[in-house]
Amino acid sequence: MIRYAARRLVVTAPILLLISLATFWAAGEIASPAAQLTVNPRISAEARQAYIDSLGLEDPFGARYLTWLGNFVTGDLGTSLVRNGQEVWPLVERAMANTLVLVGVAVAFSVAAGLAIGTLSAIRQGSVVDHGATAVSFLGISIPVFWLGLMLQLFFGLYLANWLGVGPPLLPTAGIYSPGQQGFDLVDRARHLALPVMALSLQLVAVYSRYMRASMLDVMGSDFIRTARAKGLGEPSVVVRHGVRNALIPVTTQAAVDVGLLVGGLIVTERVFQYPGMGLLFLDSLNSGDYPILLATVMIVSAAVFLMNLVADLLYAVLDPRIHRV
Amino acid sequence: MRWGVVAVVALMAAACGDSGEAPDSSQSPAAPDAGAVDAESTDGAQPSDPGPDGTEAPAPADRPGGEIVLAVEQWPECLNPLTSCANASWLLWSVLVHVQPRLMEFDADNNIGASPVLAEEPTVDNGGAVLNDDGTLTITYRLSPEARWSDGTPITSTDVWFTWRAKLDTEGSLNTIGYELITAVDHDDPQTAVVTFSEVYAPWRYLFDPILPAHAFDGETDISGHWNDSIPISGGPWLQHSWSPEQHILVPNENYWVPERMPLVDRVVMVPREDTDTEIVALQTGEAMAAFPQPFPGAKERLAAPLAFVAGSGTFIEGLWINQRAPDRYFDLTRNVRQAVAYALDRERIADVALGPIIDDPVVLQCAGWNPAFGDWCTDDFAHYGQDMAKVTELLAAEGWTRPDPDGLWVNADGVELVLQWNTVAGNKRREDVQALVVEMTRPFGIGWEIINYDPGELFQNRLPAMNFGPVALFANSTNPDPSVTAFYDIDGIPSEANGFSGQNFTAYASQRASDLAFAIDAEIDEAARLELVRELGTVLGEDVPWIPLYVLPNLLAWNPDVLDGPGGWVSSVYGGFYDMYDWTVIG
Repeated sequence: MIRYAARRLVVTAPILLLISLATFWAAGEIASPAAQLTVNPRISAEARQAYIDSLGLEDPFGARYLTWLGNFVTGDLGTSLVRNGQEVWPLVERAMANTLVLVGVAVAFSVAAGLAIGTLSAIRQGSVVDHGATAVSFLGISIPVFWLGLMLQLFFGLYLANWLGVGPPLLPTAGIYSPGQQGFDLVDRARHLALPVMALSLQLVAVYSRYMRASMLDVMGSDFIRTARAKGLGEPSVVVRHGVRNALIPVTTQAAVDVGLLVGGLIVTERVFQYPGMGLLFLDSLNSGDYPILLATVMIVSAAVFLMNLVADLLYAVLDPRIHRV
Repeated sequence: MRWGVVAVVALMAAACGDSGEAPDSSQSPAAPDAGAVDAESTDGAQPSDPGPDGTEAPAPADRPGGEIVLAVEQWPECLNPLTSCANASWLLWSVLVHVQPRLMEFDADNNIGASPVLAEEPTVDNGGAVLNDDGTLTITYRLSPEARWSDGTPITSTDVWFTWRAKLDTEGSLNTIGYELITAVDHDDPQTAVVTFSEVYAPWRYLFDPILPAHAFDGETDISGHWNDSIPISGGPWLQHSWSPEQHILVPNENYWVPERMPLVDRVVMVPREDTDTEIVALQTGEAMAAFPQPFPGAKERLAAPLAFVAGSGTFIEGLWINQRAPDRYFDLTRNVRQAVAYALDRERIADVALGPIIDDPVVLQCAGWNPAFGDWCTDDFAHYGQDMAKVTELLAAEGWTRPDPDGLWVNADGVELVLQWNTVAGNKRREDVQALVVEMTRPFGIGWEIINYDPGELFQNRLPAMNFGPVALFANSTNPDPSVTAFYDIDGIPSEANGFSGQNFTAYASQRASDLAFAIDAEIDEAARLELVRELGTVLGEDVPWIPLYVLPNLLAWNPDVLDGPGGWVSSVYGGFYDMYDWTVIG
């Protein structure tokens, strides 16, 4: 297993380097730090030169890239161009933590719900439950998140409260805690997670339930399931211990990949729900041309995607030992 | 391999980091500067001293109380009042106007006068504004003995002197115009600041906004490293309790000396709602009580009852800015060409399409640089432009343009068609609607467009400062109550490599006459004479058409009248619609 993991890392590292190169070039094209320096003519020549030197802006592209890469690897993400010299790392750290919480809860919930629905659909193939789950899944896959987010806000924030005749919204529609909330409050934080998790999960549950259904149908037709039944095992035991356990592999690995993708793919959800995560930070830095933050967010998200792909590969190998023996 | 390790470490660190915990109420913002105090330390200090007119300020016990929650659609990224942080309008509207004092201030109609910091307004009649024989200008500010900072320290002439130095000495100071002309600030008498300008500077009233507490910075006049995430001392009705990327809390400044502006509620909480739909939903659900949204299509319907809203003239003017030095121009943007474009437009229809879904009866802007909401500076310089085929033909034919196909485009002597590249902000529906309309509107006049839109960062931060846009761009520019338009028309302010792309004359309009008139306006302190100069410049601009004014963007203030009483009076103010929230009360 260790050799397998090492092999995967060796393959991943050069790809990450290539991505860093492409990212560095693209971010420079989108939000040129040199152009940023011309925005504020009041910056003194000395300060301007110091900044140019720190980014190596007068160096050739290759040297500039290596300077940045060296700083990045040692944890020096630089300072913001538009936030009056704020360090980039604390901003990224805070946003990353918020996004990981959102993604973690959404994926965990979605895996659990997807497994249950997919399993039920498979073992009752062709039933009303199966057809209903299939229809809802396709609906979930088809609904765009920005629209769903707004509908959830209106339903839980406005209409439901009006119908029930209660004053405040049943669930908060934006933010990560209530206005004026001081200090950490688990319940308040969880309430604010509810709608963005729902918006994210609808699609994930739909996808996972489809994966699980297909996988379960495949597994339940296998010889070892017939053998288990022939040995006299009860149906619940056959489904749960032998069916679900073996059908889990594709869903588990897909969930790991999704964590990586979602870390960087929450721009719409975070914007709609004003959730201060990586997506919102990326969007803000893109709009303001804040090159150091833009570069850091894109790079970290790229690394997260690759890391979670690696985790998915390793999980697959753990769940199916045949993989790393090949 | 090393990358993988770094990524793991980064993710682990992130996972262990702050997960969005709200600031602890027991901790006021860190006070980075000497003399800074927290909100609690000023509570109760002289809360009900008589004001200048002898009325009593409402003491905490008399205050109706409650909490106001406001939705803010652009969150300031830092708070420093002098550096690039202050480039964001929302820093002014959500933070600075509530906590920082100024020498002169605007009323709700944007007329300027003495602020409560002053005992009287400096005028020529009272000897406060003196034009000296040697051409210098002296302004004498007499400060109110009542004026004091939230920590109880009096506001004195030393603070005025310090503000002048900080404006000039702070690294990256955003705007030093006017302050560079000051040769001295005499602060021997704590109650009198005598400011001397090296030459006449007509917009002197707009300087010293804000003023800074000298005692808070230990004499360090470069304040770029201070006040980036908190403003611990106030000279306004409110005191900043805390500020973070998630919320901003203001509490009453109990040491404020103006009883009629003492806040009536216990605190105000501002939360970011950067998406317009989310912002309006927050109002509808009651999660926010008021918002000051950008004008958006459908506003009239979405802000209707049970919500309430008022619309007023805003501070941004929108138009077609013509870059005469655009790299992508296919021919010279001569005066005839610019006038021809103006004669091909039905600007009333454009204003209707752009603003009709937002407000009733949108008004066409008829002057290039002034805002009709501010004084009498704006007049009918562009009123003669309307769709006129004969004029278009006359202007273009005079420069050798022909129209071989009567239904086609004009073609010049080099065989180049009259097609203008046109940029605006991608995804901005109002502006894209205007583009679609104008393309259709100008086709019969033989004028074509090549539309290439960019995201805001690319357009405003990369292309505009480098003059790499257009030749036509649709965007809004801010205006001030003062008629100074030097930034728009100063010949030396055309961004170029020679001046380090530091100017704001983005049209590259190189008229010496217009430039001289703009400077003359700045150097004239007699209001009637200034108006004459403004009129003269307006006539020149109406002829030269450096850009084509379209309309004033409206301001909107929306609130939930079931829970909040008081908003609406300052919707057109340069201080933003939240300015008078000291007068707002919570219902129920």
